[in-house]
Amino acid sequence: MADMLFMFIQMVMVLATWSYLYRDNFFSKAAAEIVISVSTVYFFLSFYNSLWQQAIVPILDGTNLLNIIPIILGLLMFSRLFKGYGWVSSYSYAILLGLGTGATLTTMVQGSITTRISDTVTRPFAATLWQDQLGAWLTVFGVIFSLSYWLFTIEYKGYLAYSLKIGRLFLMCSIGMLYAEDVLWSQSLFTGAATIVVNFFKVALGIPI
Amino acid sequence: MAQQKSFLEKLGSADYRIIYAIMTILVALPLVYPIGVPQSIAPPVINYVETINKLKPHDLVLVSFSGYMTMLPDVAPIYIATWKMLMTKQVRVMIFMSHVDSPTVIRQEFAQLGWDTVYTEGTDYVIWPYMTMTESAEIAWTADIVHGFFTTDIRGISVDSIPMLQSIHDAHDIALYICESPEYCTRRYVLAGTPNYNVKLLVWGTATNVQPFVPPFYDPVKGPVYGYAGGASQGAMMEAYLFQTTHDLKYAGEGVKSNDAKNLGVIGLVVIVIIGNISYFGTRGKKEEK
Repeated sequence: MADMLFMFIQMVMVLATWSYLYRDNFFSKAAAEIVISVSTVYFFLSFYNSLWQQAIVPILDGTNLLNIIPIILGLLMFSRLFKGYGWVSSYSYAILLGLGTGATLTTMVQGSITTRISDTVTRPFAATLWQDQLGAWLTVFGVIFSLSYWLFTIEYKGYLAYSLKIGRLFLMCSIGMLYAEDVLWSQSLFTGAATIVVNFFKVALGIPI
Repeated sequence: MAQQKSFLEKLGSADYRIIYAIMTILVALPLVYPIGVPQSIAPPVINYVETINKLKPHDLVLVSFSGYMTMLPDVAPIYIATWKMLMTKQVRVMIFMSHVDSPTVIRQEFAQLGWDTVYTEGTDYVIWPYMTMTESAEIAWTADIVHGFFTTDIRGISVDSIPMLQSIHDAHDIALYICESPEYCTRRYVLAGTPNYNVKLLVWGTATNVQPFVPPFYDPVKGPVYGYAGGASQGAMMEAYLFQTTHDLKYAGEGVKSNDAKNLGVIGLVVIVIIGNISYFGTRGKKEEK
């Protein structure tokens, strides 16, 4: 019975949200308000619990008094709420960014930059199937042409003008691919919502899911 | 007198609600009457499954889990299939929560799968509380898993009282990390450490997050990423491959079931885009004349 009620609420929320596609109406607005208010409370409580359990409790029981430092840095962020004192929050940002940069610098170059470059350059020679080789060479030329698109200090004339146009084509293709993947993601979410509605009616009619 | 619209003009100015209705029907129909569109299986998905299959009993698997409600339709098939595989391996599992929704989602998934009938919390697996970890925090954690960052597990039990953690020291103890970012995890769990941690990586997540970023890091023989699966389509591939190799019905999950709906929906979308373009190019000359 509880499961059925839960499925019914899910189905009503999905249909109320979808009703916006017809036109803006009371049900779609109500669904949006419910989701926003419930998630705000949920997020606040989750963050509060996390802060309490991991930062404040160790101070109170004396196991990690140093936690007071990040708590003070966090509180400094609220200085932005007071006119004239916003600059104090810069200390928190500076420490966070400074520590992050220092900690990642050693592995960042190797992990994020050289891996990508070396993979692009070596893949054409490592591939065994002709399809893979073709794709790898296309990537090499795509990178070279795309890079030429970002040369702002040289006048685009002659061969460079052609290179820029081809580079723009590659960039548009990659953006198009990302857009297509986003559409597919939305399609998955849409299917998930449709499954909720269909499953409710299947259960209500006694049809196995 | 108003000029009559041509067929192409009518097509281009069709009420958008008709398109929504068509899309809804296309997606809902296969959910009621499955069609059974053939399913091919991508090599990275096969390697993902085979890497998990190579795990030995008692190996330590770290999982970064960012399941949240609105993302689930795209990734739940991968998550569920992975949990089912891990349940057959008698390994030890540590799970990071990387989204505020994740603790609720994982408890629901584990309850549905009967995870606690196979594994005991604290002895065989540990779920860490939700916490956004910065790079420096994660460096501290990989160097000292028990005391480096967390003070308790998700239940609020002190790290010193959790039996499983007593035999774990640093990231060198991790046999496999199922994570979400090939670049970030390579930096943190492969290249970092002295000597390097060299943890094997698998990558899971949404198609948008996983597939464009993995190839430079993916090598099924040398790693660091040994396999990956992104998005519901590859979740369906994983289910299909597991079913083919094990003939176990438990692997025929939501991914395969909803794959028809997604395929038909995408086909509908492509047809609508083509019709829209035909209408646009067919009427462009006319509009310029006007």
